Amino acid sequence: MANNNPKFRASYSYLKLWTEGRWEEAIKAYFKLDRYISRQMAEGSDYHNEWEAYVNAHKTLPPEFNCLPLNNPICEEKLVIPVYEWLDLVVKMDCYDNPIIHEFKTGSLESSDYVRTYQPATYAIGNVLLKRPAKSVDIHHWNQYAKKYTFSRVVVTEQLLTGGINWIEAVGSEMYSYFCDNDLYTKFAKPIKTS
Amino acid sequence: MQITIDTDELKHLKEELEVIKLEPVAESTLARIIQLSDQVEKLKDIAKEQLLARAKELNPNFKSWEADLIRISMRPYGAKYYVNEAEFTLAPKELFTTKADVIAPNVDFSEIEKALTDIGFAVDKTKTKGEEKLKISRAVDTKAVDKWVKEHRGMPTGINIVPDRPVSLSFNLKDTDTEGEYGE
Repeated sequence: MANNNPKFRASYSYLKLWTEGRWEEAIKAYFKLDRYISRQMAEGSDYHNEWEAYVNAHKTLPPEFNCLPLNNPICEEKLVIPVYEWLDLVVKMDCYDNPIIHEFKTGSLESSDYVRTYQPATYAIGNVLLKRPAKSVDIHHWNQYAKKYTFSRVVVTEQLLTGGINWIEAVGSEMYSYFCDNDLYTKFAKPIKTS
Repeated sequence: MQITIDTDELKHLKEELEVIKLEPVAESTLARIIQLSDQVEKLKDIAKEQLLARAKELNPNFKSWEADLIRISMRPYGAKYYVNEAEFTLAPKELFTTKADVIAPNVDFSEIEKALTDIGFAVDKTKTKGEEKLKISRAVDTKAVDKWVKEHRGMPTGINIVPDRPVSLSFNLKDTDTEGEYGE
């Protein structure tokens, strides 16, 4: 897949949009052309900022998550991991506390609703490729409307990692081929940075 | 309690079942199958009890755990919402229904239906056992309230969340549940 185009920078959010058939949104998000932010997204972002500050200050999870103790938490760290010659994986975890990846969610769903997505696998792969321990992905969900906290754990296994990397490669290569075939890197030429 | 599962015995039972007849001699085979089934159920009960304790230790708000083969999850049961009678006049009427069983005169069904319809009551056509007392209940449309909560970012007045719903722990093979992203 070598060519003169920039490397493809895969993140879970772009890959998910593409998988869901939301191609236009995926392209706009990838090339930073336009980004619709819903009220729920904005509210979720506010919570995340608040929680990041709390975790950094107190070294525990935030009060919504019962202030569970952490050891050496690193919040919102952006990892760019070379995977193949054509592919970088970009991962930004809400909180990494060796060897646990903590993911924070808000909204009316529950933590278990996120378990079956490829997000846990994607984040685990990012750490494993950097040779950082990743034992589990813990999903902490705060339903701000019902004031309810739910917790789910996905254990990182070889099977999870294999399934995840296959998904990243399959969806990523499809996206990248589409971008190259349609000359999108030229059309939307500007430095590409994944948030 | 001693629980022993002999796989050779299972194989033998299967062979016996393949040629089973409606004769007294079949009783011991069938009885043994029931005993084995009961033993497995007991094992599952022990597993649930222990897993529940470990889950609560891991996180009091435990919802689910999974690795490669098994998904363990807590599932609440019973009604999620209820109508607060003190505020029921304020509750959006499209979010719940009120049902009443009434004692009607011993006349033709069509007369009862007409009498109720005339005063604006919709008549439920489902057949139910007769009761000798007036029963009124309200049933909240859970999906409609979930949608409301998402759209309005809060609970509707007059409808409350049932506190401390009973929960049960279950564990299942993951490949029996193909919903969601992995199943697409």
